[in-house]
Amino acid sequence: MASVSSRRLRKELSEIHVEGCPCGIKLISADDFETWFFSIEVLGESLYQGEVFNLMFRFDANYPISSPAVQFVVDKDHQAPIHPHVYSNGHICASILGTEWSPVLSVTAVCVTLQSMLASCKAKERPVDNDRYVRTAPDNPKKTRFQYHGETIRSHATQENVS
Amino acid sequence: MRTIGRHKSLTCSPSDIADLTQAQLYEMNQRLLEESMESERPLISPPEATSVLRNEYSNSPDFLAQIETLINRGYKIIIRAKGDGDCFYRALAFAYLDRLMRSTGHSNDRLAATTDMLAKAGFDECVYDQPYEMLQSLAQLRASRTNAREELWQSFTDPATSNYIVMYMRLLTSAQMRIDEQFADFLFDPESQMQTSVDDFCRRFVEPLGKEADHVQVAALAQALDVHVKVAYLDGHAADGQVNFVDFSENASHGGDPLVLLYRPGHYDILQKNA
Repeated sequence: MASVSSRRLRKELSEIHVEGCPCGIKLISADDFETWFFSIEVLGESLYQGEVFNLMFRFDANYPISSPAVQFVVDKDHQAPIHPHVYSNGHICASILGTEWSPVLSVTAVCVTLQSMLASCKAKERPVDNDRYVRTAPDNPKKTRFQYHGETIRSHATQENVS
Repeated sequence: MRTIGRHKSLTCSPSDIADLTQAQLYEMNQRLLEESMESERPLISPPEATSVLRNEYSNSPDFLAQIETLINRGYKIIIRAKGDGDCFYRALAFAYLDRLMRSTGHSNDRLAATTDMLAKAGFDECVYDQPYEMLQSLAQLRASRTNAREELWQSFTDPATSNYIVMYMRLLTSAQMRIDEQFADFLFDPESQMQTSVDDFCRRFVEPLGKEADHVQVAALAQALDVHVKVAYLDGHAADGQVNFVDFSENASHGGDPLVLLYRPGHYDILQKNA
């Protein structure tokens, strides 16, 4: 029998194929039940007009009980959006990816939440501790214990990384 | 029952530790010890005699008196749930399925109706279908079958099943609050103490695993399952050893004895009269 996690992802994927992604979000690839890529842009007026970002989702065997690891892709073709809650290595400080993750949330629901996080941005700036965090950040953002703040405060990660 | 704040206080740097008094150091050690014991505790423990609680309160006469009251009222068995923030949901689900397994009428009608309720509350079928299958397969267990209790217990100690049962209980709680308008006026953000909307409350304090249940969630889940839930408060507040019992859905149509939970500040376990 397929695992709970892969059965759930299979259903999410078939919904994406049947109903399509929400506006501004496109599925780039979902070749297995471990790593999916999406492109995301903010439609309408925003500080990110004309910018397109790529998101990477990594799932473990405990999805959806445990959250996916979600980050913006940073490589020679892609940059992370400049945003108070997004580090330059693509890691995102968002409570729904941490303590407020719930198995009710789907992959597309996460995309939409991140899209509206960008849409409501008032000033393009990096988190206060960007340089320090990026120097020592783990590969998987789920290993970081972020401190969540309201929309107006720039993020910071705690020094120690959780195991 | 383990709050974030508690963890934070344990992650201080060496310079912080030097500033602590002996008493604070002792307290920190105790907490670390408790946490390590807690992390080894099974999600649901095998039944124990309620009298084991005496060991935890040997210096607290008020608590000891309440423990005697519980034992004298026939609550001889305690089944503990791990203190991981999901204890209420896990304990109630276990008590519910255990009673269903032992009852003679054993009707699963109410459980079957819960998927309609989740759909009505707006949840996507792909979110709840697999947890529902797991719950239904446990609801089919009958005490007459050999090892049925063992199987139920094993399923609840295995995170791969147990956490999906917790998830389903959380979905039911959320659905009840979203559908039933009476809850809307009683929702407060436990962090800011400000009133909040049903949607916000459910998204942040009901649906995520690990978020402790308060009075409101207990009331909602008792209604969703249509069961009488009785909560005994072991709090050391009454000098005469009286124990406060609070009833939820006392007139539930799902007959039989109430499901009884033991509440200690921040934590729920199960109480039973017969093993």
